[in-house]
Amino acid sequence: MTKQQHIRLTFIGGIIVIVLLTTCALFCGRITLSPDELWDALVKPAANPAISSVLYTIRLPRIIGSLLIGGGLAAAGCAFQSIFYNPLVSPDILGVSYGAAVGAATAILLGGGIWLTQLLAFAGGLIAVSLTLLLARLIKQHGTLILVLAGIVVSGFMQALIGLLKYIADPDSQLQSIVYWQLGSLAKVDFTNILAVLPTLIIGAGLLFLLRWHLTILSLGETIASTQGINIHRERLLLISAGTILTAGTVCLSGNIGWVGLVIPHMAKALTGDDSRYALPLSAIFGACFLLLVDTLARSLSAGEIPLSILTGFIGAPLFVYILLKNRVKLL
Amino acid sequence: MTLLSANHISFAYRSQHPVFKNISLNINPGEIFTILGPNGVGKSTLLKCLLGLNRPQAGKILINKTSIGQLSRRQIARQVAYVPQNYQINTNLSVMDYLLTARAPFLNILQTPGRSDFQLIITQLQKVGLGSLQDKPLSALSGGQQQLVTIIKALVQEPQLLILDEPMAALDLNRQKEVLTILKSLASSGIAIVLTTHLPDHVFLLNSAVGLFYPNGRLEVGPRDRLMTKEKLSTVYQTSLDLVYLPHLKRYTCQLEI
Repeated sequence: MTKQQHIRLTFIGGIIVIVLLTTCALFCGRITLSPDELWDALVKPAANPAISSVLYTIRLPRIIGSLLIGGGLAAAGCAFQSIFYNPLVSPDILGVSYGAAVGAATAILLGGGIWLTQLLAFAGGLIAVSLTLLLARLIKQHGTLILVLAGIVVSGFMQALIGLLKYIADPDSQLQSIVYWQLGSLAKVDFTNILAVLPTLIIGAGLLFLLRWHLTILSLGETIASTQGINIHRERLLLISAGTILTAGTVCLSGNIGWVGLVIPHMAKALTGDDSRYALPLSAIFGACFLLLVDTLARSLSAGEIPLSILTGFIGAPLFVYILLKNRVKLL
Repeated sequence: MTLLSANHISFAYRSQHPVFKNISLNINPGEIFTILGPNGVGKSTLLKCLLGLNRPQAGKILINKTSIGQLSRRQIARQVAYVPQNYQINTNLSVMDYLLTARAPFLNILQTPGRSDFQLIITQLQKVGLGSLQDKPLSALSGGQQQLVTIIKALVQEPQLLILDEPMAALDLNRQKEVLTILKSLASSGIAIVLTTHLPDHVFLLNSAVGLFYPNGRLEVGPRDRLMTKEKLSTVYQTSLDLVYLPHLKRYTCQLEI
């Protein structure tokens, strides 16, 4: 089998898994539906309003939301790993997710709607990633771990800011929303939110997809990329902005969801190699599958809903340890 | 017509510690120019200035009569290709995907490589007998094969000037011969070549012009016969050296005096 055929089969496999998982997710939940009930609820909503309501107001938005958020976070993670030629970075490790959450929380305190939330989430994410880069540059040491350490510092600072915003928030109306953003959940995702955030997600993901081959060139390092005719500063800025827009969009929908942006790109690259022409879209497909699976488990495994971060952590952490062990020579 | 010219350039990473001062050189199409000098003297820094990656504090660098500062990275990459020193390939890209990145200067920001780019690479790989490796991950190749692939990558960029920083460093003798033959044939096809090396014999093997980089940061440029002397090389490397004539090969070789 040639490499191209292998990649094509991997993509087809990924899309089949998405379709299967989506079908399963429609059936599963606190109310398990039979195929007949599901079909009736989909085509004749008036026949059984209770089931149709579960389907159209809870399950379908959550399924679409988890596909978009998982795909977006994994694509942003894949892009950040190439931009910084660093396999240990992701939107949450670089501080982008926490910066975006600070922006979103500020919008809540200001009483803004979804548009202000998106704008401030993007600004917060961009400020956070800029601070991370600045800090890594101030330390004046190159290497994989410096950027990660700088990201941890900035994420810590952003979490402290979220803590401060929680402290001054109105406990009756604002605090709950901020906690929701901080912990990450798909419980509040509905079609209105999805439609409001969709343009942001499309812009971020579209830019990354169009520039995916330049991500591959950037991943070879500054000197090589420059001598291949790449304007490093301009393209980095463009790609960091695209990754941040995408992350900010997902944060506006669901708050912080960890591990997806870090682990999933590694899984995709294990199958396609480091070329972002293939790894970026495959990361998006795998990320969508992963979050859909996790969210379906979160709302089906117990009577109460298990917080997403618990499940992403349980699955993501061992996977990442495996990746670290496999790549330990490369990372040093 | 001069392809590359550097006029009185000086460079310092920190203002009080210049790496080199007042260096001038001209490279013509089809010319091979070899820079010799000890470790840490500034050879790689000079090459990076010629590539526009380092900006000299004084002097001017012209590529095809245009100041390098007025050229975009893309315009430079269409004329000059680079093989860096000891390039550690830390990527999971396949040989083909890695080589395709060299086509970036000829494609716009939204384009990805097409069939003609693919075909050009297959032809280049087959020329050096590496055609069967195109789908292999670079990390699975030996150090010598990786170095050869980085040289092929520079050729895929179809440059007028090829700049190589110690291209023979990781290669066994057979591969060195292969690279020297490739460089000579490129020069005869009109491509200008600038390289650094630690082995003075490469100057004789390539029949190249020479730049001697002295430990004080001075670069002496001139023809091989005038610069490749026992005294000058001993000063450059600060050790006793001898040049021995090999009558059966009709060339000199440089030997350490121990």
